[in-house]
Amino acid sequence: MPISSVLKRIGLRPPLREKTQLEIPSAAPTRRPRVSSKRAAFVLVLLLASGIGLRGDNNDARFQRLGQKLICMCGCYQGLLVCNHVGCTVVTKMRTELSQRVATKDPDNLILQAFMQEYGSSVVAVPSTHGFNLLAWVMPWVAAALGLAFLLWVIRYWSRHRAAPAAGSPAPRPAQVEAVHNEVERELQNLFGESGDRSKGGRA
Amino acid sequence: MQSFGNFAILLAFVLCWYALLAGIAGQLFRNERLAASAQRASLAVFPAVAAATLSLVGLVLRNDFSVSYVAEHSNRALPWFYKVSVLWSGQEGSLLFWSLLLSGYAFVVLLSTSKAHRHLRPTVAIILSSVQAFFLTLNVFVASPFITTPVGVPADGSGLNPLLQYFEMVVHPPMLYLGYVGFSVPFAFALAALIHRYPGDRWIQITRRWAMIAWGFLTVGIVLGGHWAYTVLGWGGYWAWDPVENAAFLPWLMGTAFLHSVMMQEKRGMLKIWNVWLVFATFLLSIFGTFLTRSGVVSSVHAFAQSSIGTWFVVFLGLALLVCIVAFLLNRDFLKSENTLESTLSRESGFLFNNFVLLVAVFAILWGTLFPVLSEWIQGQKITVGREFFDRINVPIFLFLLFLTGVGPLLAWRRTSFNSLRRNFLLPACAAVALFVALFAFGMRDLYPMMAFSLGLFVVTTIGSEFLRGARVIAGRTGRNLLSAIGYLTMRNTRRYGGYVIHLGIVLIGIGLAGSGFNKDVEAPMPYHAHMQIGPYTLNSLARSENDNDNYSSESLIVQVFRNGQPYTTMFPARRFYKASNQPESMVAIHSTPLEDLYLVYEGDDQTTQQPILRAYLNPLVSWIWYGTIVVAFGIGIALLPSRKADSSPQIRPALANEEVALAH
Repeated sequence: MPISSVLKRIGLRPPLREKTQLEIPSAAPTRRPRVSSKRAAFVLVLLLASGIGLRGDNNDARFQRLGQKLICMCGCYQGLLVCNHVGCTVVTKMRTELSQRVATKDPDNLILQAFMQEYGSSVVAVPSTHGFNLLAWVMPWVAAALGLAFLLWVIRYWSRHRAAPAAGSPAPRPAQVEAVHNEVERELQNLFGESGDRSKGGRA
Repeated sequence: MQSFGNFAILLAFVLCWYALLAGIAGQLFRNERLAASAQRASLAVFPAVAAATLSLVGLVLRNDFSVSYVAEHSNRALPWFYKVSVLWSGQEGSLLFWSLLLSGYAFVVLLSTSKAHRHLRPTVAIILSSVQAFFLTLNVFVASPFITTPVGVPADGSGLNPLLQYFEMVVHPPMLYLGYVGFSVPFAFALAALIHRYPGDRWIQITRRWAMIAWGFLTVGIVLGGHWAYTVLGWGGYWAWDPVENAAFLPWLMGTAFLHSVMMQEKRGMLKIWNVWLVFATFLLSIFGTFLTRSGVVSSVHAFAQSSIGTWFVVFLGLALLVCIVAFLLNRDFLKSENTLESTLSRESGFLFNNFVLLVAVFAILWGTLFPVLSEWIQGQKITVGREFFDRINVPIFLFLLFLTGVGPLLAWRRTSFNSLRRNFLLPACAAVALFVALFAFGMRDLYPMMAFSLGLFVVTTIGSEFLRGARVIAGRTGRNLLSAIGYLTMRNTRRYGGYVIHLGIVLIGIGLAGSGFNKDVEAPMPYHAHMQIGPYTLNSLARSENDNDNYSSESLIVQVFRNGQPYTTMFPARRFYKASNQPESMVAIHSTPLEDLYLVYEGDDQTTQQPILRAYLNPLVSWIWYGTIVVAFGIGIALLPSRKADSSPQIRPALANEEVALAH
C-alpha cells in the first residue's frame, strides 16, 4: 500500500513531493491534526519498515513496473525494458533516469509525469484514465454493451416472430407428415453426411 | 532484363484495365464475345505479372545495381535464398508480389470455377480485375520496382535489412500475403452473387472454401511472424500488439467470424446480410492492413516501407466501400433470412455470441490501434497505446471466446434441451473446475492463466467426447478399432471434425499464450566464469568466439547451462555486424522444451567495463504455440478435404442412424 494512503488512513497528510518519505510535512499549527504518541510511533515503525523494503527488492519491482509503462524513445517504439538494440544510447539513458527516480521514492505518477514532461506524452505506453484518454479504455466496453443489447434484441425479435402453429389448427396433412419424415431422414443422413450445405443435408 | 520487366508490368497493366472495362461493357451491353475476351485478358494478366516478377528476381540474382530497388535492398554477398526474399523486402517489390499473388488467385479461380457458376464468373473476373487494376496502377505509376538508379551504378548494394535475413522472413511474408490477397476471392464471389441476386446457396460454399484457404494462410503467416519476432528481435516475446501485427490480426478475426456464421446460412438460411458484410469487412480490413503497413499513419516497430502511398489506399478503400454499400442497398431484399431463431438455447445462438465476441475484439483492437491518431487529431497530443492496454482489454474477451469454443459443440441446431445440455456439460465443466481448484491448491494465483488452462481443458474434453461418442458408435457397428473409427468419422464429415481439430490447435495456442503470465528474465554482466541463476538453470559464461564471412562478422558468447546443478547444454548467443548495411544485430540462443524455453540474448558489452551483458529469459509453454499452429494447419487441411460418401450398406446405415438419434438425446 502506498505510504501516502497509510498516512491518510491514520489522519495524517501525505508528505510533499519535495520532502523525503520520513519527513512529516510542515503545516500551519492550527491545522496540524492531533496525533497520539502511540499512533506516531506506529507510523514511524511503518514508515521505517516501508523505507527498508523500498531500498531492497521494492526498488527493483517498481523499476520493472514503471519500466513496463514506458517506451523507449529512440524511435523503435518498443517497451523501455524491451528495447534491446545494440548500442541504443536512448534506452540506457532512460533506464538510468528511471532507476534514479525510483531511488528518490517519488510516487509512480510523479515519475511518469516527469518522463512525460521530458519526452512527451507518447513516452507512456498506455493511455491515462482521465480526460479524453479515458475514452480509449471505455469505448470497447461501451461497444460490447451496445452489441450485446442489439444481439439480445435480435434474439428476442426472432423468438417473437417465428412461425407458431395457430391454436386449434387442423391436424397436419399426410403431405406435411411426409415432408417432416423426409426432413428427419435428411437430418439422420446429415449425421454421417458428407457436406454442410442444406441442399445436400450436411452437418457442419 | 530491366526493360523486359518494365514491358511485362506495362502489358499486365493494359491487359488488366482491358479486362475490367471490356468486362463491364460486356455485362452492360450483354455482349458475350466482349465478356469472353475480357475473361481471357484477365487470365493473361497472371503470366505477364509473373514475367515481371521473374525479371525482378533475375535482376537481384544477377546483382544488377543499375536498378534502384536492387541497389537498395540487396548486395553481392547475400545468399541466393535471401536474394529471392528481396522481392518482398521493400515497398515496390512487395506491391509487385501482391499483384503476382492476386493475378495467380484470379487465374486459378477463373479456370477452376465450375460450369454451375458460369453466370457468376464474368462478374467475379471484373471484381478481381478491379482490385488488380488498383495494384498494377501502383506498380506502374507510383512504386515501380524497375526504376534506374539515379546517380551512377554502385559497386555493391546497400544490402538486405539484417532483421529480414532469417528463414521465417523467407516464408512469413508470402504466407501473410497469400492470406491478405486470398480474401479478395470470397469478396469477389460475395459481391458478384449479391449483384446478380444469385439463387441458391452454392455460391456461399465457394466463398467459404476460398475464405478458409485465405484464413489458413493468414493463420500460418501471423504465427510465423510471431515466431520470427521471438527468435530474431530478442525481446523474449512473440506478440507486441504493434499496429502492423494488429493489421494482420483484424482480418483474421473477421474471417474467423465469417467461417462460423456461414454455417448458419448453409444450415438454416439465416444471417445472409451479416455474412455478406463479414466477407466485405474482411476484405476491406485486408486492404486497411496494407494501408497501415505502408502509410506510416501509426507509429510501429515495423518501420519499413513507409511512404505517401497511403492516400491511394484510402481512395481505393473508399471506393470499395461505396461499391459494397450501393450493391447492398440495391439488392438487400435478396438477402432475407429463410428462418428465424427457434430457441435461445441452440447452436445458432452459440454462433451469434461467437460472432458478437469476435466483433467486439475487432472493434477493441481497431480502436486501440487508431486511438493515437484520434488523440493527435482531437487533442493535438500523440499518445502511445501499448501492449498493456491491449492485454487488459482483450484477455477477458478471448477467455470468453475460449469458453464459447467449448460450449458450441454441446449445442444442437434449432433447439437444445436443458437435460441434454446438462448431461453433455457435466463432464467438461467438472474437469475444468477440478483443474482450476488443483491449480489454486498448488499455489497458482494468477486468475487469467488459471482460467485459460481450465477453459482449455473444458474445450478439449468437449471435443474429445464428441470424437469418442461418434467413434464408439462406428466401432461398435463396424468392428473397427477406436483409432480407425475416429479416422473414419473424421473423413465422413471433414468440415465438422476438421473444425474440431482446428479448435484443439487453438486451445494449444491459448495454453502457450497463458504461459507468458509466468515469464521470468534476468540481465547481468557476464565476465568469464561468472554465473547467473534463472529458475532451475545456472548459466556459466565460458568464452567468446568470433567468426567472419563476406556478409557479416559475428561474436558469440559460449554459455554452459546447468539444470538443478547438473550439466544440461551449451548455448551460443551472438551478435552480428552486417557489412553491407553497417547494422549490428543480436542472434538469440533458444533451448526449447515443451515445458519452457530458455532464451539467451547477448546484449553487447558494457561501455565502461567492456564485459559482455547477457539477458536470460525463462518463458514457459511457448512451444505449445508453434505446435498448436501445426495442429490448426492440419485441421484446415482436413476441413478442406471433400467428405467421404456415406456408407450405403443397409446393415450399417440404419444402425448408425439409430445410435446417433440416441446420442442426440
